[in-house]
Amino acid sequence: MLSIRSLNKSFDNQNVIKQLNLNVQSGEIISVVGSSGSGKTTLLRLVSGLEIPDSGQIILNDQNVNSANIYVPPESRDCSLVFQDYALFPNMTMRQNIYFGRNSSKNKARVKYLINITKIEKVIDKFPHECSGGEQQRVALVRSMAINPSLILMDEPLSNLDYNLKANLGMIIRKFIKELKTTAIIVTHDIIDAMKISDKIVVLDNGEIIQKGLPNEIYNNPNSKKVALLFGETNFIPLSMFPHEKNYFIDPVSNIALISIRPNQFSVFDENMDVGKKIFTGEIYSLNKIGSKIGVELKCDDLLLNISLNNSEKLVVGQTIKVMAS
Amino acid sequence: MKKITKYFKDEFIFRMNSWNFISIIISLFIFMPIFMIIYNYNFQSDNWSHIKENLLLTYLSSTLYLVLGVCIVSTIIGVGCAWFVTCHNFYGRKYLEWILILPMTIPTYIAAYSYYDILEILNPFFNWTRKNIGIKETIMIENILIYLIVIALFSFVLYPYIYLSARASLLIQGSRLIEAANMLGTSTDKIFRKVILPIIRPAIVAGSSLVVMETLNDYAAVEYFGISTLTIGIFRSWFGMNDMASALKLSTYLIIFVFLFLATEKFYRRKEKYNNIRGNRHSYSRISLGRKKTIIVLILCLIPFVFGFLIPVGRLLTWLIYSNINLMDVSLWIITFNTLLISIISSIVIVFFAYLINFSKNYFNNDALKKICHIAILGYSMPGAIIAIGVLKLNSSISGIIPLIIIGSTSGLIFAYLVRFFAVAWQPIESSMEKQCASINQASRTLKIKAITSISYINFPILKKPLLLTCLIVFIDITKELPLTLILRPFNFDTLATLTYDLVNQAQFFQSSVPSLLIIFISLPAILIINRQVISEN
Repeated sequence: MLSIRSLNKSFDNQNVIKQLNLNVQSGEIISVVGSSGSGKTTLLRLVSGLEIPDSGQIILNDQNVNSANIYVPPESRDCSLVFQDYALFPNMTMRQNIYFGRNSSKNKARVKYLINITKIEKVIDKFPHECSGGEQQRVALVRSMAINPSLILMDEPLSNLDYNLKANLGMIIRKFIKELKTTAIIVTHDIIDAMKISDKIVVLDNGEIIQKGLPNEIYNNPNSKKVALLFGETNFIPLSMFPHEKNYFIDPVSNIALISIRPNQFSVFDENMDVGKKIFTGEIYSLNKIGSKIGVELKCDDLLLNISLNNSEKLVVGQTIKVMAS
Repeated sequence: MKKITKYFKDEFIFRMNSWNFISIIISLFIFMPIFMIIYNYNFQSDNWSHIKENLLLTYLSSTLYLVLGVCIVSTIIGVGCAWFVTCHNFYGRKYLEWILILPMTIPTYIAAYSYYDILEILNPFFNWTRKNIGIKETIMIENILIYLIVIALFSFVLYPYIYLSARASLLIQGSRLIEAANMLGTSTDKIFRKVILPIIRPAIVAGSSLVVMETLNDYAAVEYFGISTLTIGIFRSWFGMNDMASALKLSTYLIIFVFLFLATEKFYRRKEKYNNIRGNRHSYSRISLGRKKTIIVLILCLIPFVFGFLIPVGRLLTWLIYSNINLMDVSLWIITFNTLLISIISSIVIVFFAYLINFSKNYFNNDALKKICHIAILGYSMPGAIIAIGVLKLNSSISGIIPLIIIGSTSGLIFAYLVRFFAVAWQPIESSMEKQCASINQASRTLKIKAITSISYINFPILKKPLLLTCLIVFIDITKELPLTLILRPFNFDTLATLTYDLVNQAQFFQSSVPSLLIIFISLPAILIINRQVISEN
């Protein structure tokens, strides 16, 4: 569906995208994650045609839209882009916004379905400034989908929303993209959003893809310290402690082979559950209760492990406990 | 080399379309008159060696003294007034906020004419110096005084450019900074010197560059007071000596002068990275003034208003009584109509082109156009006399190729206004479009909306207000414009500005009050609307 080959882009002699290769299958939802300045938005702008790459090739629906001698402008590409700031036309009502794109008025049934699924009927005749951020975001999504693109690009679609709206809208996005059998590339810096919405995740760092795969696969088996940290709190444990572990990486600073174990991958030692699991014995250094969970800092020889346990455990600072890693 | 080839391919092949192409052609055409002057620098002239040996240094030094003097004095007035009016709370502040911009309605030449007899007041002093100090010294004192008077006069009517930009900057950033400095227990004096001044420096530089351009553009006022600036030199060479080649050479010197100034300004502003502090939406925290300080501040702030507006308008009104004005005189109303018509048509044309090119630049994100259109805005930094020469030269150069009759016609004058005032329209439209339409235009492209639809149904409704305000700004400038109109006006075509000039030249000061006052009263509502917008925006 989309094929990107050896893509390069620089601004002011700074390489923002470096030799990037990516294939997206039809109907897939791909999340591109990475820290600020990793090149995520530039990648979307290159695919949409708003930027011209320095070199490389972009093939969209078997049409070469970018190569050394070809450049198809955004108007002629079969994709649409949802902007982070929504970019709704402030002089038009939400309805006018939705129907302003090319051929939108011809896709009335599709638009009606989108309006229903995103629950924006109540605001359809209001102006953007009269609506909340969540409503504006949903209208921007519907507007982009209304032109019936085969590929939809979304730049941080949930970044400006509060927690409740985020969870709700994330699911709506996934639902209608899947139902309409559209392909989507979503740029986000929020790993939780990416894991909820997408089929696959691509991790970008300094313009290069450093890992791609299924959300859980990357979460549990990061291929570098950077990816591990990007996906949240984790413990780096020398491979020597887990000699049979296959998913490890070399720390570029210390040159030591490490594995990543998330805080929630630990549990209190239970003899019945011990089926060849690695056991850590240590003294509780600090405790931090967060809802139904309790964060424990456990000092085990040279290691200070961050562990997340159920709040039901009765623990005190200074207590010696045994935990096992799953 | 590879990079250059790639750049040309991206910008001139991939991103080139009819919108960008037309915009580039228009930009180049607007730049042509300036290019013609530089291109024709080597024209032979018999008088040039005389001018170079005896006059050039005087022209250059007079211009430099005047520009420096006006720049310094108007900066002190403009920044001082902006600081008091924006950041302090005292009785009468709101009235001052409005009246301090009124001198902007008065062109430098009208200010000069309204003080035409100022030197006569000083005659007893000159008589005394002649007797007691010496004739040579008296001439020297007289010369210095003339410079000081002209500097003061120009500053009293040009300071609003700095006042407005400094005030806008203070309205955005001042409150938070004052609050922060107050929290740290900093004295008011220290807040001004160490916090406010560095922060609003870019705004001061922007405002003072407009003051410099207006000073360089003036012809009538400096001519009246006998200061030989480069602009005067251009007029003398051309009309006095009938020597276009020397006028062209002097114009090139003036262009170099302007370029050096602009380059210094740009270099200076390059380092300014800290003017992005955003204002908050809370009420503005102002420093309260006691009774004594209020009286002092009121007096200080009223000085520029009194000398820059009240006295000139008062004198013009007095002259009006003696002018035996015949309100049934059709010719006066025809000239007023001419002025209004040409100003309205020209401002619409200028704003239209600035809007069109800005749209192409913003919508298609073509870097080549972005760079090329910058040369089209150089016209504002050139005095009207230079633009006029450039337009004449362009006309004579292309009339063989394209039968264009732009000289001696209103279309020629409108084209010259386009060259001169394009930048005036360009900058506000560019910043409004950048702020309000940048991501909307990109969204339009990805929604496959045609450019013509986007410019008409999306950009225009959003930018209606800034476009109208820009039209008003350009309208005021054209209404007041003199040197360019004087040279390029069609036969038997007068504007209020040229009529004022002609009447003063015939020493009919009382009669000149009528067109002068008309210019002021035509500009007044427009300036009040602009000021209201600045206040409401911030």
